[in-house]
Amino acid sequence: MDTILSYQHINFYYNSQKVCILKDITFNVEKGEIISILGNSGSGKTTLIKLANRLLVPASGHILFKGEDISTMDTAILRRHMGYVIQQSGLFPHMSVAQNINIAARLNKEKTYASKERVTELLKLSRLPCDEEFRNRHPWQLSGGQQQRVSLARALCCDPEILLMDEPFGALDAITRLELQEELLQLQHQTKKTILFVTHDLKEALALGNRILIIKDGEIQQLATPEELTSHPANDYVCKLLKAGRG
Amino acid sequence: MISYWQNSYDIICASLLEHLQLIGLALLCSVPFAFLFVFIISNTKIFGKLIMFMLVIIYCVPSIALFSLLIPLFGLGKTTAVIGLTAYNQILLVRSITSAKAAISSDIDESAKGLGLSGSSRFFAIDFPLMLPYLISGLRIVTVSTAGIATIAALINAGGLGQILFDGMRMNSIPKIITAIILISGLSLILNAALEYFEKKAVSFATGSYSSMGI
Repeated sequence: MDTILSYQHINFYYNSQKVCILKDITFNVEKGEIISILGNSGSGKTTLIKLANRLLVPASGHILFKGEDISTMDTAILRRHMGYVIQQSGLFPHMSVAQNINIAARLNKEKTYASKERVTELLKLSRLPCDEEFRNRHPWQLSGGQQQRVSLARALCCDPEILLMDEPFGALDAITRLELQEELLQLQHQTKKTILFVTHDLKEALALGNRILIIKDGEIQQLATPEELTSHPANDYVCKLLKAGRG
Repeated sequence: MISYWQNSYDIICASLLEHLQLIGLALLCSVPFAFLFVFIISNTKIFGKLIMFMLVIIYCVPSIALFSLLIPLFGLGKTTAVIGLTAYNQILLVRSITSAKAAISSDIDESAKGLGLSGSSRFFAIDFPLMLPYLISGLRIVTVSTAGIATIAALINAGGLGQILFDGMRMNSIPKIITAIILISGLSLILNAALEYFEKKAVSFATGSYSSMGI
């Protein structure tokens, strides 16, 4: 196996608070796998992925991206290797669908990724219409599901190696959510992207993850495949979580 | 009235230009100072609060009193007037710049950073267009208030349309008073309308034409 991202003894706390958000987090992400990061609100799951693209900086510990310490890399370049999708879509309201998708490529003057053909390709990949009318729509003219699809297309534009997804389907209705989960799996099958997928929903975590990382109060409870998780839960919390999620 | 306009055409035009000059200079000085204050306020806690407090106090002083206070320091004339007007504008501008910054929600900001857009390109492509409606709105309010307060500046020898108004009041000349009132309020209305036009354009752009759909 080929490790693409490696968290090594990461501690994190906000300066304003004395509480530790993450405690001694150590794990490896292998190339091409989907890791679901599962935890309650306040467990530190969002913080965990924001550390990967340096939206947050750890108090101690290192994160290695393909063996290189990310604190020594150029932040803008690092972020271009990592697509980022969040719950509120974060689409730029003053830009059309097409402009939103290729903004990073345009501003960084990457001609092949900024092309019209690339936008078409990405719209197809995210199961969106690729006609002129749709390309020229603005975010407010899109449904919630379409917004998340555009957000995903935007994250994929410069062909990043890792996708960081922070509850991307959290605000969608149940049916759209299932559709998007299914599509994400197909997309991952096609593109072989490594994905870190944050969710608080056990079913979603099980449906998507090759491995599931369960986190509580800033500590990893267990990192295992769905099968291992059900056959050998590491502790009471994991048992309780599995029970509650099955409902 | 008509005869006054015919006879004093030159003076009226000169006063109008002088008034515009005062407004222009005051705005030109106000904007950079306001950005400087916002920078200080957002980077220092205690000092920032002190500055805000001072700006509010200045705004609460009646304009005529503020100008009189400045005379011992800067003498009579345009310089003092521009300094006074600039001081007045600060609190309004600082507030609009602060609300402009708040217009960029954390999800937009994080997405832009997460896409690897670096400092200046992020500012010009994302932040600035989204802040612009608030900035123009602030500028509009400040321009209109400056146009009004600049009238008072005539009392400290700064010229402008106030000159005609106060002359009219001293000489009990109705044509002068009415002319001054028409020009001062007309000027305010025109400046307001012009900036409102740009403000609407900026809002329409920042929201992706959402606001212009009549919803």
